[in-house]
Amino acid sequence: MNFFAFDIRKALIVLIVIALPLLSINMKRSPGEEPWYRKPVSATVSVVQSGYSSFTSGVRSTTSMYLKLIGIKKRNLELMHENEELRAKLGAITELKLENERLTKLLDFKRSTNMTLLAAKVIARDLSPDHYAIRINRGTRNGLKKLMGVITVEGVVGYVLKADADSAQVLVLTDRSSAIDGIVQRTRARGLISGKNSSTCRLRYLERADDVAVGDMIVTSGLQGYFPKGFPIGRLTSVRKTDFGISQEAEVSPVVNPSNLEELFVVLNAGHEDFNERFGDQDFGPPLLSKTNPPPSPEATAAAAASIVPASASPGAHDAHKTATSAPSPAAGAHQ
Amino acid sequence: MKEKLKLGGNVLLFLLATLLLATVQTSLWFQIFGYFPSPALWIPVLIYVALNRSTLETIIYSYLTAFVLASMTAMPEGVLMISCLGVALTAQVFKKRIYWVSASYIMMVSGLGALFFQLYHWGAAYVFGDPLSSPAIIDWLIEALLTPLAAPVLFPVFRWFDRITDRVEPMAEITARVS
Repeated sequence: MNFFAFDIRKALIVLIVIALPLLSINMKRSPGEEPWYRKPVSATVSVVQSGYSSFTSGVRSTTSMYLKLIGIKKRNLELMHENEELRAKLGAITELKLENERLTKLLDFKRSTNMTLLAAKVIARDLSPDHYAIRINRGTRNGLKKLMGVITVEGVVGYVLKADADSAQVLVLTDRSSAIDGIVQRTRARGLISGKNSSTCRLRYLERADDVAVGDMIVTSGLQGYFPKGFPIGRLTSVRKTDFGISQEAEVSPVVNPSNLEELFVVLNAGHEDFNERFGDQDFGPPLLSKTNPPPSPEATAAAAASIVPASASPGAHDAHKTATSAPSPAAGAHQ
Repeated sequence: MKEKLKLGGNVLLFLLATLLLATVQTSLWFQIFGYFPSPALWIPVLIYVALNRSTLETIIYSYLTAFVLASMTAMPEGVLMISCLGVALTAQVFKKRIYWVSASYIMMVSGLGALFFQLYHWGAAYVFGDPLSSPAIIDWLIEALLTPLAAPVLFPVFRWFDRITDRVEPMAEITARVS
């Protein structure tokens, strides 16, 4: 009989379990040396831990990449937006620069001449593709009258066909019903410039004996006072002399591109300006007068820009301008 | 009296539409597209009137259209009137000969109207001693191709004009189909 009434086997097991840590503590281990019985476990642990490590590292890098991608996408959108803004600004600046150059040229021209000029802007074109008329933002309120000449720095554009209070219709010299008195600069032969198509004019009523040649510059006669004298109209591109008849006909390429007009001048008063006296044939071409004038100041350029605004924005701003004579032009009157 | 007021209002509405569309064509289009040929936006108005009104009314309206358009072109008024009248009467004759109920019909008639306007202009200029030496044929064709695109958008508006002014529409089924 068991005196203490307990299971000896159980007691032994408990004793061994309790003694194991003590045994382990007391066992001498060489540093750096793994006991044989631990090696399989260590190897397994190592593999599993490495697997976990690789897995977490992969997850972390993927997550990080994803987060970065979100950031990159956002940044990309921001940069694209910024790029678009910069492009728009660049376009506006380029447009302003070009406008500034044009206005500088116009101002340069305006300052250098005795003529009374009124700056205007093209606001509409003709309804029909077979007629070349434009509408400008200046009218009778600004001193415009019918038949007044319209020019750019490069040369003649046309003349005022109808003038309303705040706008006017300008018949471009390429319209077949236009008629402008012109002379051949080299030989002073006279003729009548009228339109043929969008880019060509005709010089009609030249006398058969007149000395004209391809390349000759045709300039305004200035006889009626609507245009300055000797202002460029175009260059002769062909001359045709038929076997019979009393006149010869020539084709003229206008110095002004009629399909590229934006800002122009209405000649309120030609002021007896004579460009023949000031420039030879070789001097023509844009910018017509820059050779004789210093570049305008920025303030003056700004003033010129301000003068090219809708008429409604500055009513009566040009009241002080002298107006041209109202005698009708026989040449221009040919349109009627 | 009320009927006359409605009739006058209807005519005024259509003339106003002609004016607005022609200014869009000459000014707004010009500001955006420069000198590239524009659709003849006012042609669908004339075509609509020609298709839906009596001959007498169409003739009167053609002259009123020419009167409105005259300030926007260097074309002589007489030539403009003849061209408008020619387009309107051609549309009426066309309607009697060829007709089907579809948006393509009004598109086709509008495109032909734009082309016929140029042809009548060319003919009238030739007859009255101011011939076109170099007709802008490419521009004519582009205009005739662009004009029909506007017609299906504009016709429902014109039909609305008729509805608010109580006009009877002889060809209501055409415009109703496309609106």
